[in-house]
Amino acid sequence: MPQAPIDILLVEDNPGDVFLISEALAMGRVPKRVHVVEDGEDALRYLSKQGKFRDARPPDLILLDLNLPKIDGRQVLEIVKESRDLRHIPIVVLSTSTSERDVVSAYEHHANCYLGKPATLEEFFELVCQVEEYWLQCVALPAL
Amino acid sequence: MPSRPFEILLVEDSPGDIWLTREILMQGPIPKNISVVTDGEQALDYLFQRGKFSGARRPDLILLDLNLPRVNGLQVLTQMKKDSGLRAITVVVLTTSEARSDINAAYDLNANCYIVKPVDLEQFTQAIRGIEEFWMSMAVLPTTLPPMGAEEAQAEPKASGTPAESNGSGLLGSKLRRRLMSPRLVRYPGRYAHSPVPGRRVGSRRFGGARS
Repeated sequence: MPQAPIDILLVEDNPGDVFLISEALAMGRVPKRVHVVEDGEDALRYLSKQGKFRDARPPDLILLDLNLPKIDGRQVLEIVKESRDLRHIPIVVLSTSTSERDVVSAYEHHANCYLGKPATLEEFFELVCQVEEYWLQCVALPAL
Repeated sequence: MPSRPFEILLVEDSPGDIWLTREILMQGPIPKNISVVTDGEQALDYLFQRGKFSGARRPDLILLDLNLPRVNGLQVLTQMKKDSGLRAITVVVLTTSEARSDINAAYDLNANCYIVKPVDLEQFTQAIRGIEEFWMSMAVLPTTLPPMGAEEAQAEPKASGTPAESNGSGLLGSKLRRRLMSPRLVRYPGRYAHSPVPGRRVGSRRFGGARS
């Protein structure tokens, strides 16, 4: 486990979800920095350090919503996982859709994990806590 | 929603780790079948349903050791993630190797996640439970994928024989089992819906230690 704080890129356009996810992540015991972008275009700019993201820290983990403005989360997933420089970064998809088609397609495009956003606040919070525990405490993340 | 057991393929050559992993998993709340193969070549034969594995069931989750005889875990990962019929299967790398090169290579080859096997029994138990809770009840996994080995020509003659499989009979003493498997309910989103109390969970979990 790295000593330095873990950098998480949260790609989410819903302010309520951003707030909830950030709060739940902050409750976890692993030191972390959460960087938020609100659409797929900014996500790709962040990852390729373009424009205002010139000094962005490469994330250790990406939390990716699927339905995003400008560039869809599905496209972001594809682009990241096809990039030699980025594809090692684990992507946890968080989506309200649990249709088999979305799920299979995400895994086929090498999403590391697919999670359905629960309908209730309590369950959503719990889900993010589990993500924190599993991905930041149990799993060994790539380190370059 | 399938009401079938969760299918796990354990690719592991250490008899001790096979026994322990199977015990911990079989004590977990989710009904499951665990198939075991002990080298990388068998893992590929299983996944491509070759030879004695012609009747093998498609796994929902693969627990993959890296240091394996014949064909190593990274090679298994390379082969299966190249195959359009297999690549959506979740692979959790579970290995003693803490080498950065192994971790990065596994993610580069599209392993879903990498877990370093804890040496300590209690932590090992926590790690396996963590895998069960996260992948078998939290994560949404594909459920209706095409049969395995779809890209391979159906040329293999069907041979009889079934893969090694656990029937879940408990081998641990009841006291140790109780210690290892203190009751807790996990959240079930219902994909593998066998939950006695759907959607509710009590108790707290700590993955990977800090449990006193």
